[in-house]
Amino acid sequence: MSTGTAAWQVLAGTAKAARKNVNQDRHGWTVFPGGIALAVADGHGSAAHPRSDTGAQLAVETFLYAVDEFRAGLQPELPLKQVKIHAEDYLPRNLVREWRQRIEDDLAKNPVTRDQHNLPATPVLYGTTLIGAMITDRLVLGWQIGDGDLCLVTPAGQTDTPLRNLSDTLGDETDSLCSDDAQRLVRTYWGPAPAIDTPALIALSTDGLSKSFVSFDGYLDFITGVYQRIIHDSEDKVSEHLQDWLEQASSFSGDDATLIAAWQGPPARPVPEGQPR
Amino acid sequence: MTGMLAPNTLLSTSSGEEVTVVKFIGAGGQGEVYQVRYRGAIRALKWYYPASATDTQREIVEDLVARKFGDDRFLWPLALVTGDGFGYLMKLRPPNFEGLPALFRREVRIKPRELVTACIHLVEAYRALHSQGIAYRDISQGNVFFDPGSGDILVCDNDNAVVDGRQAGIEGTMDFMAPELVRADAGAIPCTQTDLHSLAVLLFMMLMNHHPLLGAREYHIRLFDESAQALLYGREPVFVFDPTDDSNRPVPGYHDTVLATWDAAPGSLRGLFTRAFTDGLRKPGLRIRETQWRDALSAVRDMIISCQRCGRQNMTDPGEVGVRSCWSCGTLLTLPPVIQITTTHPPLTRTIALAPGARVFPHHLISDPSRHDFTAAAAVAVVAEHPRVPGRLGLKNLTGNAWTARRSDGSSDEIPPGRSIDITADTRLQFGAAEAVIRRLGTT
Repeated sequence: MSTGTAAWQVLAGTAKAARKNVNQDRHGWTVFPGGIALAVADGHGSAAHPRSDTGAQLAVETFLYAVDEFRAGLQPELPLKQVKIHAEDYLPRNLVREWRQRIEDDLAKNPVTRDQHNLPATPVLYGTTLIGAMITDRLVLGWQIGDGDLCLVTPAGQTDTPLRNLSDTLGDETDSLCSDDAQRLVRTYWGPAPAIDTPALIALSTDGLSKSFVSFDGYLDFITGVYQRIIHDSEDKVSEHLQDWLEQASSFSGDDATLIAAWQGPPARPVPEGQPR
Repeated sequence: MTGMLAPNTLLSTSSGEEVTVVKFIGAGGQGEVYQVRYRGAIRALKWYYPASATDTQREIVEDLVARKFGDDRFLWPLALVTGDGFGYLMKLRPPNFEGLPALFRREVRIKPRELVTACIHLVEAYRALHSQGIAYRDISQGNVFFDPGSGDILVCDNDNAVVDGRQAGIEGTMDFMAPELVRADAGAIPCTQTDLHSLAVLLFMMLMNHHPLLGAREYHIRLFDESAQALLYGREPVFVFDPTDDSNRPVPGYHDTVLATWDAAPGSLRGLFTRAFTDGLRKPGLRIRETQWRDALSAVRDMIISCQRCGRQNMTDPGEVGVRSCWSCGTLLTLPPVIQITTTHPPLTRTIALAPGARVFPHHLISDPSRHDFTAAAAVAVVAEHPRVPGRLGLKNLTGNAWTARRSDGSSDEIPPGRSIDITADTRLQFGAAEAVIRRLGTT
């Protein structure tokens, strides 16, 4: 486990599917002393979820807010077993509850009219997936509801997708923040020190990226390739190409494609707080 | 993830036997789990984090190992292992066993019959543990695994179990704790009595896919933390279906699952849960005992009916004749013939629906079985189709002894091993000391 002295660097991009009017993917991140939190959300986009781009935006913002609350509750003397309860129980519950509250606030500000959607004013209008992660010098944590991918890369280039759920790859239905008992549907990844090493790179992406590959191994090779290029070339070179890669992925998958990746670089280049886009 | 112990690290048991680390499996709240080699076989090793590797924990593990509790439903500590720290050996969990969180996330499908079977096995497992004078103290969704195909269960993380009444600190999950422990009442310690509350919570979660105390009161809490938990689980716990207090009902649109599962549950289970989470919350002595759960769950399992229209399994009670509709499609359920078996010492009547494939087991023939065995090899009778007359069902004798059958017209027959008797109303059978009669109760 690293001491966390190196600064976290972030690379992010998104591409809208050509057939869509609006990109329903959103992403964001925040850095804090000794760590980083990042998130990506994929609004469902179908007719039943006409406000899912807003839902995705609120999901990313709510996740980063929930992580702040989670971190505030991590007193140094808190036993690891209790930290695990905070991560696996409190955070998902607070995330879902806060997201629904923000949806209610949005519905109050922007009431649904019959001629707009002819749909009931419920969180279903805002349905979205969410993947979030937080890394500190004590913890590597991940949360996921619905499809998409969280990938950890070791310094040796080995990949791990601990939250992958094969049932997500079957059909188009996916779990959602708007699902009944959504907090119970959140999958969590628990990586405490000293059991784990800080990953060299963590990548979060919507399913529009991994679905663009013939096989899941192709996606893993892509993530490994991004990491190798960052190390051997430079972040700038990867940034130059990222948009092209995502647009190509989007054209293959027919879906919006978003990638946000973080890695520990030299301390000289801290990353400013990112605004979800 | 790599873990604290590198592959090929050599450790030793307290008796000096070699243990070799093979690979890291996962991390928990108290320690890590590894695959290890011991006596030429693959085993699992739990290895404590330094902060959890206390003298008290070591004493508990040594005590548990010394007990040599060989029940196959528990991944019991087999040997203390030491090195730069300590842990314990246990059997490796087979890959067909899934965790309950995956069930609650609906990632694992299980049919009602296997789900109820898992509940029966769970209740009997804790009964066996408690009969040894041991309290588990940390019953929760994270410590139980189940086989969706059979309903078999495995209880892990037994290293918090202690002799009933012993004082030992535990940082358990508050949502499974008895209210008096959450409130830290004077004199309240984790014990078999508090285990009974945790067991009731776990059963409710398995059958209803929801926590029994989380309703409207939780919904209105924006920031869930320790103080919120202490309120909901300790200071002011209210059952979501408390018949005299509707302040904590499930919120439609947010708690829809439990509204549906409660509605689909048979009255016998709803009654036990209501007692467990009303009287049982306030008076530990009134908590539902393992045998009460076992008998109710076993009776429900015997009366699981497949809907004649959509094929979905429905849990029913014998007393719900003519009133229950399929939870899935709403069709009024049609009850197949049943066999009512009455035991002796004390007399107890069990009702088993005789649908194709239904089995009569040895536990049906005695009043207080120590363990239910639902494997096909254990069955004493099975409902099978006539080999030459499709659709004609009979009850096949799977025992090594002939049955005597008496029909309503007064005639009688010997049913030798391997042969079947037609399923005809009012036919009486003698299963050893237990008497049985086939009935047609009508429509449930």
